[in-house]
Amino acid sequence: MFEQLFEDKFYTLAFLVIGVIGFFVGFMRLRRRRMVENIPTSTVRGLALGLVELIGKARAISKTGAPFTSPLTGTPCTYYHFLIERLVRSGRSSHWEKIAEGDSADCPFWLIDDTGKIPVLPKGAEIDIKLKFQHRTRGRSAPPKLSEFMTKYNLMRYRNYILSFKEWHIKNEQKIYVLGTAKKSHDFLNQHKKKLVKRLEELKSDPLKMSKLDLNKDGRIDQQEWDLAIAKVEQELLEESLAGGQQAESADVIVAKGDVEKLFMISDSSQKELISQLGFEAGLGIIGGGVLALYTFWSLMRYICLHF
Amino acid sequence: MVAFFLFAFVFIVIGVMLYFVAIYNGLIRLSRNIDKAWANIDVLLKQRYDEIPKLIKVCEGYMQYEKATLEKITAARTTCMQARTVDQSSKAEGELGKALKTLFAVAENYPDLKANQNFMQLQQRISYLESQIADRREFYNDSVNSYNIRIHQIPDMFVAQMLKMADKELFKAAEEEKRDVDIKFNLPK
Repeated sequence: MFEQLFEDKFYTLAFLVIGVIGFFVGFMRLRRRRMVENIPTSTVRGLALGLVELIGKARAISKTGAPFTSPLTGTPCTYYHFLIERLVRSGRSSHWEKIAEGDSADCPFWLIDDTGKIPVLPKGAEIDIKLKFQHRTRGRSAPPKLSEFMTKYNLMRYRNYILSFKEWHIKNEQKIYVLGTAKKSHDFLNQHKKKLVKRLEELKSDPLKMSKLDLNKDGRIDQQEWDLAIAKVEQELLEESLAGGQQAESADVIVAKGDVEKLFMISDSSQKELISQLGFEAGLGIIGGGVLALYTFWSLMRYICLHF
Repeated sequence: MVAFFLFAFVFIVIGVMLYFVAIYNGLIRLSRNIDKAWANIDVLLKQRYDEIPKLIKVCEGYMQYEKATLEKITAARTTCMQARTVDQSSKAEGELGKALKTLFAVAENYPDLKANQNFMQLQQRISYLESQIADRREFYNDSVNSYNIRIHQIPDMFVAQMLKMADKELFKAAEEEKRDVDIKFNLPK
């Protein structure tokens, strides 16, 4: 009986499951909406430990104040996430398969408001930012910046496939919304500074490396060349941290994913936009999922009554 | 068809229950957030009360003619520490804030005191604490406001009435705090 039911009504059963899941997910979105709506926005100065909502500008944590660059577009940013997929064809159907993905979630950035600044560690956050770059092309005819990236990360073996490149990022000084846990943490800023100083000392003690920094070949390293060197070293430290999957350490208080409160959101939408988006998702899930589940269940019942 | 109606009934009942659970949990969270916001103000107030005796000690050496001002601060501090309700606290804090403002204004007339490193540090620390306290009070009022609106809105109102939830008190700045500081110097003529 179940085998025949499954064969004849596979899609109906699938929609029933989707409907029920959508119904419960809708309630989860409703809970999230109420949290965003009910937690007042704190100022950095008046911030207390625990779940906090902050609104401010994102700024890169670096000695020179220069943000790092996103890998696909080279945009100066405080956070990025990229995804590269290839189009796989099997018979008449085709699907996208992920070949590379990465983000800078291990690298904190400052959140700055009128009263102060605090580091935000995006690791583990639900990041809701708009897609900033999308490009589809055959691998071998990818623009120079993307080809460079493919070579650097050993992706040239996919050059004969149709590839999709996507990038999301938070630009330096971009206004963001953060809902996360303010907590005491290890002193990452000091450790970061120590690593940077050590690396710069190593650089200074190597004449060959120093000569490479002299871009205008006037025989001395001027302030601009030295700032560029610092920015480069910081970029290297960041890449090493990403490659090693190290968790960034933090200043006295940091906003990150909580140990008890798991809710952690970062968004480039305004609070109003977030509330209406979550409200729409909740409504769609509860009403849409509920109606779909009831309709498919009714359809299955009718089928069972007629055939068994 | 009985099975369908049974399923539909159970499904709708679960939906309604989940909805009310979400409202209930939301209201409880709001209520607890208010308590937490108040406790977070207390933490900073305690820090400020701890700084005041140090400030008075530094000032005493220089301001022997401003005994009344210093005594006012000590008295206001004691009243603040004894306050129990939001109303009592806002009144007492108003008095203390006014007394501190007067002290800092009067200190302008004592160059030696103004140049004292300890006094400068304490003044900065107390001023920063004042700003932090003001931010947290604003946060407290936002929390109370969200809660007070919620418990009067449909459908939250039904759950709030069942739980006998009442309006919470906002922190209002005392009248003394809004008034300009009246400065009188007691220097010998």
